[in-house]
Amino acid sequence: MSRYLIFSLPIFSVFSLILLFIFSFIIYRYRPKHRKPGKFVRTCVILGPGGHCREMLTLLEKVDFVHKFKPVMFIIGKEDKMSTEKLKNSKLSIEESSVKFIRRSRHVGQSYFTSIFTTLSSLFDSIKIILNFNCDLVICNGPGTCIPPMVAAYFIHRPTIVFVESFCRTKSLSLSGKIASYFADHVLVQWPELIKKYPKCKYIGLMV
Amino acid sequence: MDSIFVTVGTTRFDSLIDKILDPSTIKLLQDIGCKKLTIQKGSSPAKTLIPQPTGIDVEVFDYAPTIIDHIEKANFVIGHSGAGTILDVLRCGKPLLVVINDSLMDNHQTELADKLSAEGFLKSCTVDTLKSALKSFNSDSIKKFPAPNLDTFPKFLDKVFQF
Repeated sequence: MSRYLIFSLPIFSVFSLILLFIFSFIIYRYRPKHRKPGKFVRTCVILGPGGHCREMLTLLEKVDFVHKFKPVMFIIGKEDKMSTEKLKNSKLSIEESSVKFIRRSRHVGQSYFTSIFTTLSSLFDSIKIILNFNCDLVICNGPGTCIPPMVAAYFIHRPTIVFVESFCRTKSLSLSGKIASYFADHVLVQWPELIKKYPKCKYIGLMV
Repeated sequence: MDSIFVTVGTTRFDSLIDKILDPSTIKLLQDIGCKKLTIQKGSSPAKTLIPQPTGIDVEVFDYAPTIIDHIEKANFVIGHSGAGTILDVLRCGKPLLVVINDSLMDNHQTELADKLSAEGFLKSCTVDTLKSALKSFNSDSIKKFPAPNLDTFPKFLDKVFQF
């Protein structure tokens, strides 16, 4: 019995995601993606651990969070104390911001089978957070942690999603980058070689 | 190269730490003019924590909230291939020798070190070739890494949202 439960849970979840996708496709199909003049862009930033956090904070350094992009919600992995600290100590000038935490989708070295469940729990956390924050823009840059919130936002609000591939990836996209290219409106890479291999990506220069 | 900083980042890199603290390496460092050696060793156990008196002032610590201060004080940095470390050092404009940890299986980080080394922004070696890399290291042959354009990304966002 419990074995059935173990196997049916992911299948059920995937099935409901497909349903959600169909509904959101119908609802959002004709939604214009243009910003109304004078409106601020509600922004959601997903901060990953370690180098990802560092790259993200550099990316955001000169973004105008006072006159253009606000409010800002940061999503951080629950165990990721360092990124929370780094964010606090950063020089970003932000007027309205909030920080939300989600469970991590996959730990380093975790088996693929158990990561199905942790990814689902991370997805549920993300859905809860995203439902309460109607965002126009999602910025993420690479760690596995960013996939559940990004996917949740895609289905719930269909915002503009910008994915920035890490500066480390000089030859190929990361797994998150490959997944993100299905959902993101813009995939930015930091090495020009990558756009030959992945035509959907854009190279606008070194950013970190 | 009188002040050298060795860093392994937030991980551990036992073989590098052992190699650095090896008496023959210490001797070599002394030969190339090292007077102060600072080692951030992460969770690696250092077998011989304080080497025999050599004339080099050796300081070892596990982690620091920020290693930028240590990088700025050094004339030369030996680091692991982590992107964070590489960026920190290149941004400080210090000559860098990256030691690639070839015992790691999934080693996408060497991708970055290889690329930057091919472009001439740093030198790279493995633990086995560390000594010869140190001997032949010439900081004049290293190109300066270009500063990032911090306006690129905000401009891109402004364009997307028609500001």
